[in-house]
Amino acid sequence: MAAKVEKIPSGHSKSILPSVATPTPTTTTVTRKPVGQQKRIVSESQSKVQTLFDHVPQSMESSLLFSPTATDANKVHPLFYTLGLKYSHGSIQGSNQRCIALLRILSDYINTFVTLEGRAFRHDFATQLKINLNFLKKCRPFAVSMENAIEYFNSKCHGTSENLEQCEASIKSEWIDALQEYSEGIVKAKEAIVEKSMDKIKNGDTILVYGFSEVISDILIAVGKQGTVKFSLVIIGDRPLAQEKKGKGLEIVESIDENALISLTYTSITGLSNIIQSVTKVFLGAHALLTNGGVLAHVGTSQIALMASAHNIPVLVCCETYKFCDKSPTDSFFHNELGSGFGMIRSLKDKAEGLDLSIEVTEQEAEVIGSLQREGLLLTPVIKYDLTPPELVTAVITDVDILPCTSVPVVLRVQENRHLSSLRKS
Amino acid sequence: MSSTNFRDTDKLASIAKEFEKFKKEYHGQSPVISAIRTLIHFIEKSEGSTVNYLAEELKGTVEVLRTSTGKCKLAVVSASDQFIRFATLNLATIESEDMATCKKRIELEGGKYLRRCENSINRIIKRGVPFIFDGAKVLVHSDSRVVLAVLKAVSENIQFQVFITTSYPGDSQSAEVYRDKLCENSNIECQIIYDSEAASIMETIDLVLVGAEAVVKNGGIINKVGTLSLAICAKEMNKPMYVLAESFKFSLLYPLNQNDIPPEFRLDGAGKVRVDYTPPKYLTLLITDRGLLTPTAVCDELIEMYI
Repeated sequence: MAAKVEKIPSGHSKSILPSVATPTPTTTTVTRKPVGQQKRIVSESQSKVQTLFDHVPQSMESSLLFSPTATDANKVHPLFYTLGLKYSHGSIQGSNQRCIALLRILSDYINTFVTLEGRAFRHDFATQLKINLNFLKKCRPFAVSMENAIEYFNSKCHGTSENLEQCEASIKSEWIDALQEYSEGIVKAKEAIVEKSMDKIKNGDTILVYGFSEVISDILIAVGKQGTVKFSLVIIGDRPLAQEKKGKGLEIVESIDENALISLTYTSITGLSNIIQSVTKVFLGAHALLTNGGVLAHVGTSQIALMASAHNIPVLVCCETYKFCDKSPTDSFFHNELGSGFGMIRSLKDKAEGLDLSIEVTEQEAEVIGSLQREGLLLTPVIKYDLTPPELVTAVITDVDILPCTSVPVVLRVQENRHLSSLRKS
Repeated sequence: MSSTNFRDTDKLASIAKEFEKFKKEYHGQSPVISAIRTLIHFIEKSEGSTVNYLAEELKGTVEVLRTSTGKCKLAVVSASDQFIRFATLNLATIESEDMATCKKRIELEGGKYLRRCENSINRIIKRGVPFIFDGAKVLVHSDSRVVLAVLKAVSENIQFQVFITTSYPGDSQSAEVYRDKLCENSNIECQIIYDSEAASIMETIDLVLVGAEAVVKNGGIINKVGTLSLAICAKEMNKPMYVLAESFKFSLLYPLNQNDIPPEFRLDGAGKVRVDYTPPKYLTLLITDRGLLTPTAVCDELIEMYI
């Protein structure tokens, strides 16, 4: 018997045994995900290693989603198809922007919706909408802000009384008005936060911001415009080779008023420990706020909050109340999203367009890495969000008030009471 | 005849005089309560014909009261805010009615609020007394009226010791006066210690009791400078720190750090630091007339008050 060292498929014992060559299982299985999450196509050899992130959704490959032979090609309305493309490609970023875009498309969809013959308007609309929204989720998992908006819209749909005489047009206009109000509310909330944050920035402060956040950049621009306050700005960008444009945070440099700035420093997150000593305040944007006061934000936020806390620097999180989420987290992975670049290390020679998560490797190294990946032994997770515990956050600036982190459930409760009482009245 | 400009000097002088009168008359109570009385008095006397005029007058009066108090400035501000809030709460619903009814309504609500404030110290005493056990060693800081009331209300059967800090800067005699007042009770043994001694005796202390000039939104307190040091020391040595504060001290301020305290409150007349901010993580419980609150519950209470 030839003592041949064979490639051992993953999941089996790692000791190199002289054995008869066994065929490596190369069946591709479609792992069924629980309802609400999309299927991810993984090879069996990989599936055993990925248990840590199995429950974390990931957007499907755009090439699979948007090919003409894709299953959804015929069922999805062109409005949502275009929106999905934008989400998938990353041309709409930021939870506010994504939410507002969704609401706008929803309004357009309601306007153009034509009930099929022989079907009830509401029922038909609901089923069609569900198909479209599921497609959007595959393009990119929903942000918490979008989920809350959809929940609001659903409650509006079911809330309007089942008045059979109410014609389709009036229902439609009611829904569109509600959506319009909601999106205006988002913009107003942002303005309210800007107003409340203005007097937290004092003359001579050194403000640290992370990545690009719409709210934070508006605050800084507004303070600059005011003219009375001069401050220094430190912008922390993502890891040096991260591919998301949003993480870089350089957009703000263009819009901020130069006269208001004493100095401007830019470094990536790896340089944080050097710069933190000179910082007086940290302003962070948030994706969502959870019931226990935890802050779900762009990955790296918790690191910044921890570092700032260790140096006794106040950490301020700016978050609109519509992003408050009724979930209770156990860890960072409970509500997260895997970015693209998951499972991919490409050699310099093998760059894909727009997905350039390249690290410098030689040909040989690329070969080794490639083979490890094929066997599912190498994992390169790129998660998008992380959780900052409430102890590290000094204050949360919301459109209602400046609150401690732990008051999130109270605001949720008050909002719910208001919503219930308004439902009761209607 | 009512003056057209409600901010003219005569009116301001009369407000200040009235305030002093009330303070003297009710000198056992907190000056804040006298401030509320002054506000109610001026509502009664007001001859304005519109609700807006009345509201402006109230605000003007509050401004005057703000400037004419020393230690209680913060509490006066927060109490006035709450008073205006409570008094004008339902005003929007009765705007169609005439001025006289509005005034009556404000006076009614204002009176209710005043009685709540007057009663608050009794509620605190009831809740605070069980914390003092036989043989306890209590550390107190800066002559707080509320702490004094609670300690004196403890039953005669319970013997305990009180350590009073000199609470410099301030009236050099205040610690001695405080001690004499406490020693009137036979069951209390008092001792004055230097502020710098506080850390060294902390190991023998059982609990730290302080009052507050204001309770801020996140459950932290603003109190005489030196409170923060005591708090950090107590936390490090695992000694509980209890704050005794009436609910009219619940303020809408939210300082991020010491520098964030508005300088008008933070500094005294000579520009020296007078108060410091103790973050909520150092406080065990707040004993208030609204109940025994953890620092995180303060915001809930505030939201309930203002919604």
